[in-house]
Amino acid sequence: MWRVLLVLLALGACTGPRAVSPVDSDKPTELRLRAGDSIRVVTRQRERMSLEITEIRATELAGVTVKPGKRETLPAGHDVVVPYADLALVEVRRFSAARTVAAPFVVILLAAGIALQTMPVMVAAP
Amino acid sequence: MRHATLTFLLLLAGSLAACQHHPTIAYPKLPEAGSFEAEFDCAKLDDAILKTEAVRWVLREDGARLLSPEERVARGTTDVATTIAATFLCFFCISPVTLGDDGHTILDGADRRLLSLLKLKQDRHCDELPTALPEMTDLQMYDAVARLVVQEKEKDAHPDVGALRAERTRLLDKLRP
Repeated sequence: MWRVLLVLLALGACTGPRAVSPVDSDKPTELRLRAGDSIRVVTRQRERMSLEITEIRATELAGVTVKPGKRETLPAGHDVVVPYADLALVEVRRFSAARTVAAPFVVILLAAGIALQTMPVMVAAP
Repeated sequence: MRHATLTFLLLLAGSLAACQHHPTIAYPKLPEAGSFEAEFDCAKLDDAILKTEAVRWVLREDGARLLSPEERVARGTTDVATTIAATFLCFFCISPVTLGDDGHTILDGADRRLLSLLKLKQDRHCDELPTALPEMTDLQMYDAVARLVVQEKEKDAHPDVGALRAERTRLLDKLRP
């Protein structure tokens, strides 16, 4: 059981998705995108793609597509350039210190809740 | 007590299996148009509408749908389980959505953002654009959907909120030509 929890922590606790829907044609600064980031985007033309950013340019970002996610059609390994003006949705996954620190507490709380439910109630003798 | 845990797990599995909404991507916040968008000219408003519509299309493709008040109440029995599951799952891997509502909240937010942008466009007397419905432009669709949203609040006169929301979804699904 603990091994499973540890694997879950290792797989997911350190990263967290953040998504924005840019409202103008400028670079989405709130995500602080940089080369090397793995992102998923949806364009105004309803194209979905997953890519790794290779270069942040003044009016567009360049990248290489990675293994496509669900409902994405572009295969991995394609060079793509996406103008900021075309971005309707951007999701980036990054290391999250807060999640990593807080995750064990969530697991412990859940485990304690289940344990309290399943353990018999001991009544003290008079 | 073990029986209670088993019941909890079965409820959880059942409610998750019943859920049609399976997010494939994290969803952004979609606030109604505010003072920032109020400064937009017609071209920028059309651009913002197009982008919001693209996000809404992703939601619909992922299975999000509007629920009637009755469906939302019926979900109450499993909401405790799904909320715990959502908190746990969202923390680890998927987007912050309430699993128990089939994407109702986020889709409703997208609809309302679209309506607020279309209202700004109407107020600016911008050119109307065609939709996928041949007899309706985008601003005519705005009028129709805005009426439906108003009717949703008039519960005494129109008790079938589910039908009103289904019609809203049908129309907005056709916003893009």
